[in-house]
Amino acid sequence: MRLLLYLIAAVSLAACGSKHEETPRKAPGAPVVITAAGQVDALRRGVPIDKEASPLPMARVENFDRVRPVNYEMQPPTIPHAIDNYQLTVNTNRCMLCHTRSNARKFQAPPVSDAHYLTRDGKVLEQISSRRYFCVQCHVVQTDAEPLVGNRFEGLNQTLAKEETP
Amino acid sequence: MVDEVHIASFIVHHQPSAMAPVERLVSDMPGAEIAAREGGRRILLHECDSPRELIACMDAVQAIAGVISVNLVYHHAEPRGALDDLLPSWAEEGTSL
Amino acid sequence: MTTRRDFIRASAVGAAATTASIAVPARFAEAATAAPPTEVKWSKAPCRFCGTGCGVQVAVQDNRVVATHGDADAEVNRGLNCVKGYFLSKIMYGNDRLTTPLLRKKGGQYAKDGDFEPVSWDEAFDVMAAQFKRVLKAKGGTGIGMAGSGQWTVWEGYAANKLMKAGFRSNHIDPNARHCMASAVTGFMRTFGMDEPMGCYDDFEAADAFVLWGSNMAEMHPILWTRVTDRRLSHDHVKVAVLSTFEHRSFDLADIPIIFKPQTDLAILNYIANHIIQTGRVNEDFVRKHVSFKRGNDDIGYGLRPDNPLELKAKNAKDPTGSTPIDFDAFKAFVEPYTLDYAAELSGVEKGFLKHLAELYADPRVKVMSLWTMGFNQHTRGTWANNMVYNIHLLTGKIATPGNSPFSLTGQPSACGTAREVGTFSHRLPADLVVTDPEHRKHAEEIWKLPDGLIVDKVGYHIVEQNRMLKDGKLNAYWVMANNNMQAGANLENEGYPGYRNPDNFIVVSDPYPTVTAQAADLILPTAMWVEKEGAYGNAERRTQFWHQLVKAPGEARSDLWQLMEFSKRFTTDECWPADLLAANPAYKGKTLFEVLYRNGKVDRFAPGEVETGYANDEAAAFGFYPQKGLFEEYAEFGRGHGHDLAPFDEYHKARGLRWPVVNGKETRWRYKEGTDPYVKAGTDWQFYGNKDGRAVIWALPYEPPAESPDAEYDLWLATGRVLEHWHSGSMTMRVPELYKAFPSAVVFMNPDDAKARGLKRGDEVKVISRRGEMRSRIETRGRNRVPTGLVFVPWFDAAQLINKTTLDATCPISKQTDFKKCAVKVVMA
Repeated sequence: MRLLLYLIAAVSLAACGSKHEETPRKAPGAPVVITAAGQVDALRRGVPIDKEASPLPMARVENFDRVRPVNYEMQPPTIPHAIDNYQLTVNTNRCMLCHTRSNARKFQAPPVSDAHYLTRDGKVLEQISSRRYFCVQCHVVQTDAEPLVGNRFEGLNQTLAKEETP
Repeated sequence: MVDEVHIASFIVHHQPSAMAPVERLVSDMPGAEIAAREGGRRILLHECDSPRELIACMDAVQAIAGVISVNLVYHHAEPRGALDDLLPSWAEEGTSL
Repeated sequence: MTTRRDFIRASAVGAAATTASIAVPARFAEAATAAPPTEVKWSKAPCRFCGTGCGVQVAVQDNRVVATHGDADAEVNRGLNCVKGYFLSKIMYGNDRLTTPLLRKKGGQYAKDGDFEPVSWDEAFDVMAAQFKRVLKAKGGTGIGMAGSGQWTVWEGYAANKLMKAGFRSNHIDPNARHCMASAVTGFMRTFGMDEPMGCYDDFEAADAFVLWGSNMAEMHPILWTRVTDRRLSHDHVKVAVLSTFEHRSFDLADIPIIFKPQTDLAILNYIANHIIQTGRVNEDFVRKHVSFKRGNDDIGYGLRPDNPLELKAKNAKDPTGSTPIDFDAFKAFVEPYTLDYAAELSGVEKGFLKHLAELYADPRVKVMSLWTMGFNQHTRGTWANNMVYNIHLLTGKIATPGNSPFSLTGQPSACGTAREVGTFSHRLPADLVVTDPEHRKHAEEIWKLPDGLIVDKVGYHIVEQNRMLKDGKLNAYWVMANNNMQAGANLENEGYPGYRNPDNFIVVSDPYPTVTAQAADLILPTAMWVEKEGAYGNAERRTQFWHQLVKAPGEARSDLWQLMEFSKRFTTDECWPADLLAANPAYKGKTLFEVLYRNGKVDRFAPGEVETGYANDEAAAFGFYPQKGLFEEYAEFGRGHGHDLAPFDEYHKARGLRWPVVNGKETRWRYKEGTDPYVKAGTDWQFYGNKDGRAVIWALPYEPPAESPDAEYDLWLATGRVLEHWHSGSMTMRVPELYKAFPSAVVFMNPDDAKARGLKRGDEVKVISRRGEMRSRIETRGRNRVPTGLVFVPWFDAAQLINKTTLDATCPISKQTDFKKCAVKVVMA
């Protein structure tokens, strides 16, 4: 009988529009951890292809506001602060509130580089070129996630700074 | 007209019979030397005053019986005055480019 | 101390030594290494990632890439890159780069259930050849398959096509581009009789309106998006319409934002056609002179296995491409039911937006550029969607002139240049030729200097079918190159994975990195990538771009080209070709495949010395001839004089790419139009010369529902796709720290109301479950994708979250391209 009641309740819940109901939270299951031998793709963290394990925790965006070093001059610096709810649309550009040449000092933000003032044809403008409008196509935030695979790249800035080793 | 020096390298493919004649020709040619050898191949390094001399060198080697091919790999022209400049020891350089 | 003279002499000897594979004597080696690290050499290359084909400059120092930047001289991007492009210099340096072949072994012998052990190339090819020969003996070429790639260089694809179709006599070679562009291809072929866009990127600076049909250019073609943005923000009259099944970053520029119910794009397209006709804005002159009409078969099924009830039910599952010629009046009557009311009702879109959108096409003063990628192509009626967007450009004559441009965007860097143009599909030969046409086969055999009747006349298995045939044991020797199909293919758990692990099958995977596809393989071959080899790609606007080898591949990694050519040495014609064919052509008896395919007097006719001074070329050194140039020039014979003209090889190393057809040194920007296309006969104005009558086809095709829609149990649409920071399966970008840290794991983008209704909160671990499998992930209710209720979006870049366990391998029955945007799932707390 109880099962039938549950079924009826479940069906009626499902039948209602999702906007009107709030399902009580179930307790989450215990995390599933699998590490099998002989797995070659480190990005899968030792889980065989036909198995499922718990995903990594939700990563958090680093938000400390200090400029990160770049590997070489032309690389766009990563964003050292969160940009949740920053509106970047045809109507408004939140990034430019702090990062224009005129506002940068007031907000202690790095001003955009001179390259941003060039049109596609190389003409220099007084204001930032509209081809650069959507900052987040080049500049990205960084989360606290630790890379699963290391990278042994050495940029121009590093090789120039190295001492000669005999 | 800049006074330039031309430095070039060639790969020479040859049959065994041509080995000695090639070595002889190169040793007699000013500015030319065999830089490396392996089996039926030699790397010929030539330093001279004009592209004309490079081509003459190529033709002369190619003309030897038993030489299969002479292929130009690398060619650089450098102002004569700069050739003897010492490369700066980069350990003493600063970090700016 | 080293002088400049010493250094230059050492460089000269070093370059020659590399080309000839001779050791450099010590006295020269020292001087070379005394070079200061400030000796940086910059060379051009196209970006490794998407089909936009941005140009970059690559800085090399001491055999390492130390920087890249956007090439200011490249027309495509004029100095800009997207974030992925700016990190190109890191993609080759992931720590787990494969450097030796790896073979599954037990007790010192190959064993399918063994663990991977490093082996030499010799042993790898020994075992691989033995396996391929086992299958050849048992079944002939029909048991051998290859999964190729839109990331192969042009000559790698060409060499592979020859090896499979002419060497092993198997047409079971199909690229991952099948998942990406196949519907665009069949769309082009059915409308124009020839593949690839008629416009070019110059259209961006000329258009008055841009319509994104399901594409998310802001994240997926960012540099082209900057050209749209530039145009929109500097010209007030320009309008941008964005259509999708959920709101994403491209909507940030939208004047006309449209969220439609999945699949109803078909109805919207027919509504627009109807609107144009009903409001009297058909360009009658254009239609009369340049258009013909066809009605296509409907009820064509979903490309599932033939015994699937959906296939059995479909009236025309066996003849999806059939058609009847009709006239304009019949077409007008056909689209008449697609009224504004009907379209709005079916799609859920406000009438005002639909009308606004339709006017962009109908108004003769508006030059309109339509842009689409996977929204249209990864669609069970993807071919239809492509045909139907051409319909509305053809009804109005808005085509092949600057700004009037139905533009099919490409996903991969060389889906156009390699997969499509070279024909590495199971039905194709180079330059749009097909295996089923006896004239085409003969032409290929002539160019390849191979016997009449060599090429098999049956279409081979396409890549979706390959997984099914591996599972069924029909394909038994399989080589995967430059793709990650275990992660990319739909219905992984029921088809893909069992196929690879079927004990009857031997699977080889060539990749720079250990991917999940490599994990599922029996032999892994370490592969060179990008600037570790001389290469060529062709981008979405028909621009072929070359690059030189700039650095050496690590360890024993070798290029795909080297692998294909070297492997071919292991086989003779006697082992691969039928006895009667050899009896009729005895000159070919007893030759290795290498000899007949690559040492045929054409592919081997250029000497290693022709490699540009200052650049290495490991393949030329290995084989004693310049294979890239020889393959390219032989391949170019197919297209020159037939509207696919490629310039001479050397020209491409000089130019920042050239758009074909390149005739008399001049590239073509707008095809099919008199004045810009040299193939168009004078006086015709427009000539769609891919079709015999010179006319483009307008297709009468209906709305039909998707293969699987949400129901009571699986109550959510699942759409899959990408994010800006990661390219495709993430095998390269997930190994770049800045890109990884920007977006480290896949998530399930879900509407906050849907989450609440399921007792879920942002960050909760959940299971995404379909009829086919399940995957664990986390809920995301914020961020760049704002999905409507009833739909979730999961990107597929994460090897740890294989969303294709849940997707359905339904395809467009015409193109065989999988619909990755529509299936039904439920999401529950894990």
